[in-house]
Amino acid sequence: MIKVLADDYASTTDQELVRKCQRGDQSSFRLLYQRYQQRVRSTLYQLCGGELLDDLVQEVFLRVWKGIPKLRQAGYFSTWLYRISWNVASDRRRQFAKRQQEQEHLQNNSAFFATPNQTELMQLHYQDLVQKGLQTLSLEHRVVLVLHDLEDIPQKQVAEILAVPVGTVKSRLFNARKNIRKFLEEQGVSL
Amino acid sequence: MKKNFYEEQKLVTFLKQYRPAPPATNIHIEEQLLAIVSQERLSKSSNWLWVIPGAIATGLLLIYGSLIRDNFVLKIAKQTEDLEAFMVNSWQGSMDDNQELNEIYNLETDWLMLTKTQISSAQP
Repeated sequence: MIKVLADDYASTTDQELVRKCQRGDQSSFRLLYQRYQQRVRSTLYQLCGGELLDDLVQEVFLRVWKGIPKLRQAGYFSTWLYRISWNVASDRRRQFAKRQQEQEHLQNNSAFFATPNQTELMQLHYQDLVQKGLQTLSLEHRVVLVLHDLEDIPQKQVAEILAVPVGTVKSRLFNARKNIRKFLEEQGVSL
Repeated sequence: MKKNFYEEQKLVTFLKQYRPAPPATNIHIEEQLLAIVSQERLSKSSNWLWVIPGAIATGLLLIYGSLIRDNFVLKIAKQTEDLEAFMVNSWQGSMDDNQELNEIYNLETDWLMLTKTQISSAQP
C-alpha cells in the first residue's frame, strides 16, 4: 500500500500538484514541500549558513503557499521556488552577515572538542574551507555557484531564477570559480 | 581550452564532495508549516466575511448614486420642456407682434375683397 502511494506520489508532476494547491489542497502542498524542502534547505544553507535555517525554509514555503494562486505557469514551479529562496536569502543577507560573524567566533572557540580520526578530520577541514570559501564570495557570485555547480541547475534556468541575462550568469560563474579557487589554493588545497 | 574545462570540473567536483551539509531537518517543521498554512486559509476565509458589509455599503452607494443621476436627468428633462415651452411662447409672442400687421393686411384684403364684391354686385 505504502509502495503504491509512493509510486503515485513520484508519478504526480509538479504541475498537477501546483494546480491542486491553487485550489487550496493542502495535501498537495505537503507533497511539494516534501519533494523540494531538502533542495531549498541545502541552497539556503550554502547561501546563508545554519543560523535560523528552519525559519528561512519555513518562510520560503509560506511565501510559496501565499503566492501559488498567482503562479500562472505551473511548469516553472521549481524556477519560481528557487527565486523565492533567493529573495528570502537576499532579504536576510545583512542580518545573517552579522550573526555569522558571531557564530564563527563561537565555533572557533569551541572547535575540535570531539576527537575524530584523520580522514574525518580532513573531511571536516575541507568542508570548513568550502564553507568559508563560499562566504568570501559576494552573494551574487555565491548564488550562481551554488545553483549551477552544487545544485546542478542549468545556466539558462539560473538566469531565469535571478532575472538576469545568461551572459551575466556566465561571467559571475567564471569570477566565482576563480575567487573560490584562489581562496582554496591559499589555504593549501591543490586542485 | 580542454585544460581549463578539466580544471573547472576538478574544482566543481571538490566543491560538491566537500559542500557543507545542512543540519538535520527539524521533524516538526513540516507540521508547523502546515498548521500555519491552515490558519492562513482560515483567516483568509474569515476575511471574506468582511467583504459582505463592504459589498452592501457599495451597493447602497451605487443605488444612491443612480437615484441622484436619475433626478439630475429628470431636471434636465424638465428644463428642456421649459425651454420648449419658452420657445413656443416666444414664437407665438413674435407672431403676436406681427398680428397687428396681419390684421391690417387682413383689413386691407378684406377691404379690397369688399370693394371687389361691391363693384361686382353694383354692376348689373
